[in-house]
Amino acid sequence: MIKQYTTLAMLVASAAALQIVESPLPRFLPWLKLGLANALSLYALIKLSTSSGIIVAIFRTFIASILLGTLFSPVFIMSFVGALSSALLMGLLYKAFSKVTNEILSISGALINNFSQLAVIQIMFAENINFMFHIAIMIWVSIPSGYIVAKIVNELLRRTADV
Amino acid sequence: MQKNNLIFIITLLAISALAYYFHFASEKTTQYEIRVLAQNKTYLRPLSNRLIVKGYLGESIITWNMNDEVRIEKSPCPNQSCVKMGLCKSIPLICVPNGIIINPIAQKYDAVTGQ
Repeated sequence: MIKQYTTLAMLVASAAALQIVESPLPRFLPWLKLGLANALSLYALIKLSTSSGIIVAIFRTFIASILLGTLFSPVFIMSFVGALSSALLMGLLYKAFSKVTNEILSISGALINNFSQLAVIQIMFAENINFMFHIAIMIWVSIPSGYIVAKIVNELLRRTADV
Repeated sequence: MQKNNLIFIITLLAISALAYYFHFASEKTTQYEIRVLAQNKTYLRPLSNRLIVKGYLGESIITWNMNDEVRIEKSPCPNQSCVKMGLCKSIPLICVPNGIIINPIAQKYDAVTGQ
């Protein structure tokens, strides 16, 4: 049990660090980013449990926001909703489909992450977002980013197979 | 690449292509409204083609060019993502930290008068 908690704490810390490192990188659109921190949510989900993946997603957004000074700001809400919805969907897919690959999980997670952030923008700020345009771009960005994240997770799982 | 992954990606790309088609098939606009959340105000294009608005963090400068395209020229936000996004072409341009939203307004043309 202690080992699992320690692993979970390390994953939360690493995910928060990745989120902080990624935050100042330039973006084409407010909700577009690689989402490397999502790799650790997916890893926790596969290696530990579905709830662990969700815990990593929740805590890493809180910790990263505290350190970035954006707690409870619109940026935090976008990040939190995105991370949580992504972890929930990946957990649901992982539980529901036994043969689902990490690539599909990761790309779906990236897509729902971006989509929920866009939904937050729509609800909080803009009333007439052109969803068609954003969905088109979102898919083009989510496929490579989700694929890269899946490859990272595969490598992490391979290297920690006996841990 | 596994067959499942390939099918999944191709399906997504097809959805993306459809969404892109519907985006360009929809009506275009050259009018934008600027919403400033800090002031709860909405602005339209001024005659000077340059608008200075005060957001949550400070002043943002919004400019229009000769082709009716709009951009955020200067912003006090830390990442400067809104400035780097450049010209807004029929899609919203949003500066989340400073609470500035540039929204395209759908223009309905009268078929008879063209107004």
